[in-house]
Amino acid sequence: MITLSFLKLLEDNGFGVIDTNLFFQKLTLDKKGLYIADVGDPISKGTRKSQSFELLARGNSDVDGYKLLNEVLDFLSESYSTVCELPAVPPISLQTYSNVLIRPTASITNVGLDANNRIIYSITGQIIYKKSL
Amino acid sequence: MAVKSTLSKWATQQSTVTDRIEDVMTGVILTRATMLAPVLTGALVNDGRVEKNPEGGRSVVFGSNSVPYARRRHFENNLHPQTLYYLQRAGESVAKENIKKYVDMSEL
Repeated sequence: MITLSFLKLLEDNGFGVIDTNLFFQKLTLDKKGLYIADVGDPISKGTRKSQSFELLARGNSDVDGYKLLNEVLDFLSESYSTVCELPAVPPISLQTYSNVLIRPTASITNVGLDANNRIIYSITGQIIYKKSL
Repeated sequence: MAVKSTLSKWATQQSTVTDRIEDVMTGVILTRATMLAPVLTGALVNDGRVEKNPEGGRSVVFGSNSVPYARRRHFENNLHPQTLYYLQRAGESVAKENIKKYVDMSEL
């Protein structure tokens, strides 16, 4: 659920609304917006854990999704390149996360055209965190 | 006096790391193929999964008894020709990226 908290963080910072244009694991929806998916199993080391994710964007035009992901990357590098906290997502989850480091691992990738001729863009990254009690 | 070799321990660690890298790469291929696949009823895009191969490694698979047309849709689609080779294109988008990205995502 750490990626859901990350999506909530994006919602709190004006990137959209969950289930309207921010989607958690719902890759099969053919809507415009940002989609987040867990990639691989979480990795544990001591009290810290790591979850890899992929953030995909489908926009109104060919450059729309790219711009959106670029804004997310700017936001992460400006505000979250150091340790931070991720919020709870009530009523789904009251779990918060502390000592969080959100680390995008590459630049924006053009994945290809979808069924409606819109370009899908993607960034991948890693969230390193510790669960708060 | 003896010198102890830790090569087998190192080999085990490397095997675990390789397994994680494969886990992440197939996960990314699956998410991308799901976004690129044609959507009509939603059955095809909901059918994608990662399977562990008995001989080792993992495969990203679309198609089952409930979605027997997955293979055909990969090679033939008159309604949405831009979705052809959705799984192949997803795999290629990962293959053309730097492997270091996936190594970084697999380490803590």
